[in-house]
Amino acid sequence: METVFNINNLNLFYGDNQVLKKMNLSIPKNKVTAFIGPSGCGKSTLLRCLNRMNDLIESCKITGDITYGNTNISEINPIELRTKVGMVFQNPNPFPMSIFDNVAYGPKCQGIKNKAALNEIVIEALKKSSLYDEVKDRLNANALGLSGGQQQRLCIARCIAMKPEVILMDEPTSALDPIATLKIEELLYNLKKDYTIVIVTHNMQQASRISDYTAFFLLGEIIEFNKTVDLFKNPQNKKTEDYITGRFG
Amino acid sequence: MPILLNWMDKLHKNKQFERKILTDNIVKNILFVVTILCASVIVFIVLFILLRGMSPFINGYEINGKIYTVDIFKFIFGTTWFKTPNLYGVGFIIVNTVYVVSLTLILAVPISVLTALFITRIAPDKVGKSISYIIELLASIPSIIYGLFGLGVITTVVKNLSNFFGYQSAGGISTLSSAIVLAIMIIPTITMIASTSIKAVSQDLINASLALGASPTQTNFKMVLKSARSGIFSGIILGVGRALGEATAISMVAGNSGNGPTFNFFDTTRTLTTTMLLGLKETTGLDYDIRFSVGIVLIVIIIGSNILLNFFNRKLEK
Amino acid sequence: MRRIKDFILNGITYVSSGIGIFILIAILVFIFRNGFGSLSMSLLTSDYYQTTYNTNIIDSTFYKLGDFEDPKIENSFFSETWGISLKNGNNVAGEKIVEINYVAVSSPFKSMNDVATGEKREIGKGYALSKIIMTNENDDFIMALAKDGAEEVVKKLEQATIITDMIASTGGGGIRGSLLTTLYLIILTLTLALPTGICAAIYLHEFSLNNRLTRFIRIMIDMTSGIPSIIFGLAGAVIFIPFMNGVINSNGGSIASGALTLTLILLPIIIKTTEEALKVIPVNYRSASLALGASKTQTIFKVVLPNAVSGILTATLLSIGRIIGESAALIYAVGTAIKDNVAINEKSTSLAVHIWSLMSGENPNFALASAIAIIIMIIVFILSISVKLISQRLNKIKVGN
Repeated sequence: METVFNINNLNLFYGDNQVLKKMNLSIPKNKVTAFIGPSGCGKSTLLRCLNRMNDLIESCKITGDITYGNTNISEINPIELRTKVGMVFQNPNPFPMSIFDNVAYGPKCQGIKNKAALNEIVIEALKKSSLYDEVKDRLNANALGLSGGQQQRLCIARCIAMKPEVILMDEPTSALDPIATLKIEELLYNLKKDYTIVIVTHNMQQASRISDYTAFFLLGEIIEFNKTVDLFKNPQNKKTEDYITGRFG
Repeated sequence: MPILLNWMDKLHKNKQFERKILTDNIVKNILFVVTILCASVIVFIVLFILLRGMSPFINGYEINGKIYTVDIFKFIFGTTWFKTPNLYGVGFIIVNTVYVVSLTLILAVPISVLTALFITRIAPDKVGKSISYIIELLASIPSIIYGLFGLGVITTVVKNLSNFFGYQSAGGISTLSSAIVLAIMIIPTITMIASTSIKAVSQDLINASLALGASPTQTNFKMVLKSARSGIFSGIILGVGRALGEATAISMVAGNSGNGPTFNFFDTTRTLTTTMLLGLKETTGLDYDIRFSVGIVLIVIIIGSNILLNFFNRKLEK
Repeated sequence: MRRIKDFILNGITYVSSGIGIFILIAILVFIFRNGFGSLSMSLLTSDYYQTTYNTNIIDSTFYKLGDFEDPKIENSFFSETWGISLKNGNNVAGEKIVEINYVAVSSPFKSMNDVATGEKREIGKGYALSKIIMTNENDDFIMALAKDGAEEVVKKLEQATIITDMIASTGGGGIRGSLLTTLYLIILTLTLALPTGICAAIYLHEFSLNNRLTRFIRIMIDMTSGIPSIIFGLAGAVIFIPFMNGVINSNGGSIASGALTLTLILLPIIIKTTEEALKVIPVNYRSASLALGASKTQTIFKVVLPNAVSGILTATLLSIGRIIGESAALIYAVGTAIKDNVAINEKSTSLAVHIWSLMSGENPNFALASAIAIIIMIIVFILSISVKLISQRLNKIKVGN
């Protein structure tokens, strides 16, 4: 199994508070990996390490390392890293610009100015996010006029327009209604051929529906990591079993 | 007997409570009247200025034996302003005013917005707060001191500049000096409002931009400024209002030329407010009353520009 | 490539902020350089207008000349004959003068003949001598001028027995009149504006319902704050000057009409600031008071207002700052005549308008104007810090709630 990220003995501190404890994990390529576990167990924190968004928090300190491909993440320019490792957030956050400008934002920042090229990129990204048909007549309309589910798909399109290798998703459907959620889950199923996806989710059914691999987090540690089918049918650790069967969390 | 005392006590208390409610009503009504007075201040101001300002066009003034009335069309479209022989035209003055304020905006807006960006997003926290306080201090300096500074320093600079270009200016008293002084005065206003708007851009959006591989500077210039655009524009509208209404400072560096309109940077100019303020010798007569007419024009221009700019702001939002 | 672009963009924000700092420093440096030399207690207490006296001492038989004791004042030159001490100095405008800084108790200078009035006048300490024409024992004329310098003038005085003509002046370039005017304006205006504004704020916050009328009232008050001050000046001139002429017998502009005009300007500020202070007070306080059977009026005066004191204080400080800085409105509503004797029903200049008068004539007086500017800036600075401190305390209370 080819891996995209290798996390070795990672510890993370916010000030004196240790949030991640001796994490070891490998993220497989072109698969969907789910991070599950109760609130506050470090899932989102680990996710944010993968694209170095934690750098923005001053009190955050890390020991151990993460490698992306063959290189240590700390040796890669964070701006460059984020062009290859994209992120979709829990609350849809489109920019107060047109739909077109939202999707074109990333490529423009990378210096692509040619209108025809941008056009192509935007349309392709919107198509891949299953949003194009719904917005093709109003690409210049303000993105804030879209529904919640459409906005989130827009954020995915915005992310895909950068042609990343990895897409990180931090509870992308928890703010959406069931129908919108379903649409995005369908989307993820199609995306995984081209991208490696890591998704943090509270929803165990969602994890078992869409992911290939699952990691179970508890109190800042990874308790178990396995193929999703196996983890849910035959959990090796009792704590995993307790969580899955709903005894806590 | 106790029943009687009880009954009298209740009656007394009832009267007390009734009195309290009565007091409340009286107080409420008095306060209401006061509030209405405060709200109607603007009505009285406009009314009285209108009455006095219409007078030159309606009544005849006796000057040197002749009776003069100002022709309203010559007033609105005129290109000269001389006390004798009563050539009062405000047309060119309006053009001058718009021209000077436009120059002011060209100078002030970039500096204000960039400074606001620096204070809120680029500078370290303490530096940002200190510069913010300096800007607040600048905002509280009275306009007469800006005028003094303009007359003492800015005119000298402009004079040297005009000599450099080989143009003879009146000791630096010029359109350019006026624009510079006004710009210095409205930079604090626009900066403070722009800062507030920029601070209001949510961290979510900033995270989204950074997560897409934009650098912090790109995030600032491409995303933050765009998101704060409406608030920044409101600040600019406020600045325009201040610049149009500023009288003392600009009167010290403008010169009050007699005809126009003036487009050359180094020539003296005359704006609506300088016309009202300079050459104030008598407090009766045509020369005094006509300043009220100019006042009406100023009010119209300020309201008009406000409506126009707000219209543009709303259109940009879509 | 993008790095370079980012660097340039970042750089211009640094430059822009630098411009703001540079301007403040330039303004401060300018007014201090020009005005600091003129700052002195005499500036604050003297008259603006110089009074010149023409005096003489012709009959010296009434006086005893000579034998005065030298008080030995530093840098001064003593005339034994006449009992006065002279020194070189500068007047308020910075020009060189010869100044009297000591007059002996029995010196003739204590009681000279005033040529204009025919009465006796003391030409004493603080007076500046411009010219003295004297005669000596042999009836020769001696003339001493201020430009000769103190030492030279004293030498000439020692030879004289009669002073036939002396020109001395006092005062000049002081701002006492304008200081007083500014003070009167502040007191009068606040007396009128604070109660009115606070009453309106109380009505809006405690009594008014959120209906169309209230919204309309708020809009009207808001619009008032956007009016430029010169328009207020025009209105004040045409409304209050005739009104005051009738009421307090003034002739044209007066401090009273100025105060009324300033009141109009300050109302929106006071209303807004007071309302903000009222908003901070928790509803619980009011509920508790009403639940105890107090009327709304009692609640307002006993509970709400005392807690809004810091906000009202802020409004007061902001108002004072605005009054001190206001110029255009007062030029119209009061006038530009600098006065030494100030009365409420007469014209006068506030500090700011004094600067305007100094600078708008044929000979702009940068030195004195800058000195006044320094005083204004110091007051503005103190007010600004005070307002900031008070609002920081207000914020702490807000957070605490």
